[in-house]
Amino acid sequence: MFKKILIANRGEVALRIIRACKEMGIRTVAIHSPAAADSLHVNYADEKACVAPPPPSDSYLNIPSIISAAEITDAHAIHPGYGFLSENAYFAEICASCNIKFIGPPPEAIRKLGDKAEARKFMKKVGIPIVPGSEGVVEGLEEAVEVTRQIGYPARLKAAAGGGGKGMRVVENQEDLIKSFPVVQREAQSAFGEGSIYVEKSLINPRHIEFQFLSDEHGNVIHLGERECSIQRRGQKLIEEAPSPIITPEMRKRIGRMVVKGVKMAGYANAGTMEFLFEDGRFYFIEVNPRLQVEHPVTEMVTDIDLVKEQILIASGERLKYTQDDIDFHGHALECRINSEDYANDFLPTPGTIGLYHIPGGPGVRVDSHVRSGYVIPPHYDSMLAKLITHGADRGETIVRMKRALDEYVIEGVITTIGFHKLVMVDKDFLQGNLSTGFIRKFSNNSK
Amino acid sequence: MDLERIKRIVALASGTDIEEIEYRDKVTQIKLRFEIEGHQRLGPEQKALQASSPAPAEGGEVAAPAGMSAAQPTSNGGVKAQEPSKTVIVKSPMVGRCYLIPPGKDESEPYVLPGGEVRKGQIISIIEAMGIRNEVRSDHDGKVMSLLVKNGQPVEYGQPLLALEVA
Repeated sequence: MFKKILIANRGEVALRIIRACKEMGIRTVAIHSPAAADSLHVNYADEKACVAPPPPSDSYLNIPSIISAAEITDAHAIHPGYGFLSENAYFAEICASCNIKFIGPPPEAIRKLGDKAEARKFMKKVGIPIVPGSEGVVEGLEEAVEVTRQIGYPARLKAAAGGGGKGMRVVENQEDLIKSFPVVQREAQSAFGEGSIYVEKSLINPRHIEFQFLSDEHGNVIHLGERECSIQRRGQKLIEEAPSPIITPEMRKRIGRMVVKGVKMAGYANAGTMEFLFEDGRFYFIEVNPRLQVEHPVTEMVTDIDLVKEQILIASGERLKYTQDDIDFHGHALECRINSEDYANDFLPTPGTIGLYHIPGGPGVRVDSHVRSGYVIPPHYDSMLAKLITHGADRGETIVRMKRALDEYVIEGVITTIGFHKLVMVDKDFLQGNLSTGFIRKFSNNSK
Repeated sequence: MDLERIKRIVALASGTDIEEIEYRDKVTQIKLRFEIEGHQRLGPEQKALQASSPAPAEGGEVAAPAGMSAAQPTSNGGVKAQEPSKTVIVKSPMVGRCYLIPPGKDESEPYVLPGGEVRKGQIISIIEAMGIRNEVRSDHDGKVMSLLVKNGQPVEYGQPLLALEVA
């Protein structure tokens, strides 16, 4: 087992990893920029290293400094958290060449699944349903037109190397396609240095459902059920829950088996998530996230499995101590992301300084947050201040509990998404489990 | 940072012969550089320190020049006040392991010794990061007041390495 782990991240996820390490008796090293020496994660860690000159946004991407910090502190492993270097195959390779264990999947697996067109092709081969579309990337406009004629409009043009909504466009008809194809190609080239495009059918009003899995380095793979993450703004999740209100135990079993098979064949090890769109009773693979997810706590609440500890155990070469039959799901869990955003103003980020800060408590409430009174929200990073998670015997109790916890939460000084979440918790569609990735759009139309 | 604060910083510098100001806080970093012709920007009371060279980006100057406040530009500049010495802290430009003795030499031949003179551009230590040796050079002529790290010590970015007394 590792004696010391460097955490190449900041914010709540750095705290999350430090907490797991503390409970495992592993020492921790925090890294930070010169301006952030007083951050909570720096205070919680056993050791710290200031890694880089400004701008602070680069501190957690500065590979030589991070490796050097691990070397001088004698850290044997690096946990990348999510974001920053967590999906960087090159960083994983550098770690290996410096005899530092990267706590995540092997670089080859990150590469294989990082190219979305390749991942589609691979999943189709192993029998996982994908959104109808081209087999891998299309050669040119002609092929794109032909593929789209077969799958029907509307269709999506997507950059193979894309992500985060960049290099993606919905086309309504052939004329639109002919016009958009070169534009997406150029966008992909400039954003990702690679202009390959694939085409897939654009689903009308799908749900976003993802499966968490764990895979050790000895070929044992299990899934930990699904999370429903349909409530999103700008392609980013805001509310997540487990289990999904629409998934039956039979569906969970069937899709879970496919996920396990795909993960095994990809030569994957460590924790990961397979994301699907779900429409009219059918699942369509979209991508694999080869890392810890922001919303992992909802899975932890309903399975009692600490995913960060499992990641560390897997990276240290341990075998999974659970089989699929050991995995029990109990109760329901919800997560609301508390962001410094003005939900009434198209979720515009609202940087500033936190005044009074008071977190909720009581039965079934968990708050993962790096924020405290006087915290200055840095403009360089994302706007998430906290994750508020509630757990209850069933969905109804979990929602009521979330309502109560949102009422208890006090964050003064900036506008947060707490107000938005309070509205959602009494929304009729939400209460009935009628969710889709268009939920917020519909919701904001209703409330205006 | 708002425009008013930038204006205040510019006001602080005007009337002195400060050539460069670098300001950093949690969200802002600005660097202001002033052209000085024949030291014409001396303060009215002639008490501004002659900053012989601008503060290096990495070396924080401990002794802040006096007479910085509310000094207004006047035309009666040109006369230099007595130049008292000041302390410059040389900081590590990166995270790594700091070596004060050149490779292959023994302890009797370090890069610098307390009390010894250093010239601008002289190597004062090596920071090894990812197996690569990076030279740290002095930005000033001066005298080594004290070494703030031990040979082979791990250092982080911005950690003070040595204190220099500069004229």
